[in-house]
Amino acid sequence: MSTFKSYLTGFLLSIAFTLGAYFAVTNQLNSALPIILGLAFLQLVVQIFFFLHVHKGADRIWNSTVLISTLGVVFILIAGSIWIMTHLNYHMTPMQMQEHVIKDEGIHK
Amino acid sequence: MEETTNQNQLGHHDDSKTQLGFWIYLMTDLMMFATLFATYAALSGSTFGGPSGAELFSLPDALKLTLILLTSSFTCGLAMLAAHKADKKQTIFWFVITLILGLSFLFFELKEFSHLIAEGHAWKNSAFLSSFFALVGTHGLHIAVGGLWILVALKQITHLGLNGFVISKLTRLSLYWHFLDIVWIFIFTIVYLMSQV
Repeated sequence: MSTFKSYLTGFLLSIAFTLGAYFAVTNQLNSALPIILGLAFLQLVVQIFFFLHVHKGADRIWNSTVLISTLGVVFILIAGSIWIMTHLNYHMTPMQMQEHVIKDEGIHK
Repeated sequence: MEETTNQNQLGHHDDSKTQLGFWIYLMTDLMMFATLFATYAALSGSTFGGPSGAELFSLPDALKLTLILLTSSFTCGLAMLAAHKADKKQTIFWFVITLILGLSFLFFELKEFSHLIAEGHAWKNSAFLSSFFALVGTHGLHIAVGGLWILVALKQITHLGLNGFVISKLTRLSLYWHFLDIVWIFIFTIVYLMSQV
């Protein structure tokens, strides 16, 4: 079952990832964006294993299945929304700003 | 009364359906937060000529909030360890610490909100701010409800002791609390850190 060691490990790893992400941004590293996103997902995995113990217990198959299917829905929701809204933003900019659209799409009058 | 006796005899391993049901609720809550994140992603650039997150957010303050909540998630875990060892005093102690940390989180977060509003950056002043307050405010509301739940749980532990019924409830409370810290990791990353990137 859950032990003090697992909670302590999870806690210390989470602190490390949090501080890593914080300093990546405050020191304005060039690759800060993938670093902070990567560290966020790593911390998610750490907390799922060391705090939530999704891989343990009588119902671990059901718990993991429901979690993974929800993460799938969440990914589609967020990635899909960003894709659609960016697409709309690009195609619905006011007349003066549509220069770049006309140039990109190679539209000739 | 019969029902209560049976519930008191509930072993931790007999209530797995209850825990699964609560877990599925948490997954729907995750989907709701996902829509708030998607909305923030779409609207974070719409500042209506006003300042962006980069100008408004204090990263040291956000780090403070993050570390407070992370520690409270850890102390919540310690409370559950004590509960499984049937140590009533330790369980209460760690849940009280968790509550204090949760309330400090809310205190500093509300301080940040009132500062923003006082400077004229309320939720109605731009789409960016609307989506910010909706996302971070909803999370804060969840923390407040969680704090209330900890208070109720403390009373239950005091009056009913650490029987199967109470431990089953505490397990769900700890799932809820860990879940909120996980959501906050992404708020910290996507709202606060990414504003400066």
